[in-house]
Amino acid sequence: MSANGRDQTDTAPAGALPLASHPLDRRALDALVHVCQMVAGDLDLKAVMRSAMRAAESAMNAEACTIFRRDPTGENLQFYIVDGPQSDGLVSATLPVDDHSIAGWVARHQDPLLVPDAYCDSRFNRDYDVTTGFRTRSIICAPLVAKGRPLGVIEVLNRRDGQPFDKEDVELAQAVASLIAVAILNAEEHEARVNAERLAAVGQMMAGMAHCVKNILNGLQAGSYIIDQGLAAAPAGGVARGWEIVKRNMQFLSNIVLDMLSYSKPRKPLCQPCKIDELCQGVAALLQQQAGAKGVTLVTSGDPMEACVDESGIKRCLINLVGNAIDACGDSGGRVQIEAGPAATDGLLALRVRDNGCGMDASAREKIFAPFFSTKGSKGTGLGLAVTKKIVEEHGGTIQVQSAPGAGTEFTLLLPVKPSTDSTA
Amino acid sequence: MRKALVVDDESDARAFIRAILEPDGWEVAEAVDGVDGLNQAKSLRPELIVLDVQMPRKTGFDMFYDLCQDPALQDTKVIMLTGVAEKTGIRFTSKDMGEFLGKEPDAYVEKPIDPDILKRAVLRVTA
Repeated sequence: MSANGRDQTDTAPAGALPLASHPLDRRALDALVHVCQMVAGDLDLKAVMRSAMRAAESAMNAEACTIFRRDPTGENLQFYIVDGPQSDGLVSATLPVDDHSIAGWVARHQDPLLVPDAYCDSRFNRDYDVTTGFRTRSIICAPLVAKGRPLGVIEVLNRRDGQPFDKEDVELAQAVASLIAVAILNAEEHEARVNAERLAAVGQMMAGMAHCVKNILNGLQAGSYIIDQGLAAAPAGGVARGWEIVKRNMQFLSNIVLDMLSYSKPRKPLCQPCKIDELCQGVAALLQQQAGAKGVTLVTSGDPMEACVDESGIKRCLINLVGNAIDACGDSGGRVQIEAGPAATDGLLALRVRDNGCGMDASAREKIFAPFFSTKGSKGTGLGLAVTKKIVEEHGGTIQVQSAPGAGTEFTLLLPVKPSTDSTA
Repeated sequence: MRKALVVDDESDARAFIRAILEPDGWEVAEAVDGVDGLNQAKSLRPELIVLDVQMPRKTGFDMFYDLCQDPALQDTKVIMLTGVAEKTGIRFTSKDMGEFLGKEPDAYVEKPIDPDILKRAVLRVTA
């Protein structure tokens, strides 16, 4: 490199346009400035794509231009916009990233491709022309890459002067493509940011709403406890049956709201001495009716044992695990066992919930602790296990799962019998 | 009959706790805030106080501090209800309380109240 750095022709990085020596200097520069003006500044993805299409057409003096975006899997290209005079039929079609199409080949190899005569190239699919009535003669296809991320490819079709595209056009197309790729990436990132902000706002709203609903549920729970006592003293015909339905649904609602609240904030467990065997029996009693309705036998085992835990938190974990276990048994019966006892490691308590239900394959096992993952469709919030893991980890414990399709599932919670000093109650 | 005092500004919550305690043989009195609670505690000398935290006029923490100063109430067991956690995300543990007040409540029970958990806490502290 020369000392004053002016000698750019010799030192330009590979792939850049050697502007000083190029016969198309003026045209190329004007075209690139034009592309910049058209695509820069806009942050709406669709608007950016539309401007990019027109800018590329005009810069390349081409009859038509198409942008293909990679889908989130990276395995397919989507004709996001097909511009040009006769292309309405092609919007939103897809094709795979492979060597069987021109766009697919460029996306796969990340190299630009010059096709002087489309009908002589086996990768060109004439069906597109048949559909659109457009006659493709010559094509340049270049990859769209920004910040090292492959975003898709851009195709320009037919020089307006009737000549096939040449090598100089390819260089210009690459420069145009790199400007367009940056504009697309900016718009994509902007869109992702806006979505994230919207989600955060929704999350905040939901947490606020969950808190209000929880307060209402407290009142409902107080009232229902008193009604229960009244019904126990003086049974009132059909009231008891209807009341069970109301209570069961209140319990569902309560579980959802409490899971949402538990998940939304970090929380220090309130650890106090707790009789673990009684806690397990309490959970079994609470879910006995739900199990019975499905013909599932729900049993507890283990010797009396005391540990210092956050009782309501661990109860929440057990309700979630046992509820899942009952659901895993399906409607044809089964067996769910809650087992409590000292773990093999000293100072740890093991809580096990075992079922002989449908079990899970490896791919389900990997996802079960992610929030909003559920195999229960509209019946599950996908928060139960995420909350359970959070509560266990806040205790300084761990959660393990063993499961295989058809072989049932066993969850094991390993919890310190005595919490670390900073969570001691 | 064993005497219990429920101190909570929400009447629904007081009715709930009453319904949980009475079947186990407790005679339940109710107070609507910390000032009312302290007055009744001094006159009734209950064996057990179930004490909410956030209340008008005098909070549960303040009332607990006052209880600790009264020699006549040293044997009274206090179960403190904690609803603070959801609002602040930070929970006062009894350890924090102990450091702050020099004495700890006998147990904490989280709001929303789980009847089983409250019953077990009562059994534990009054055993």
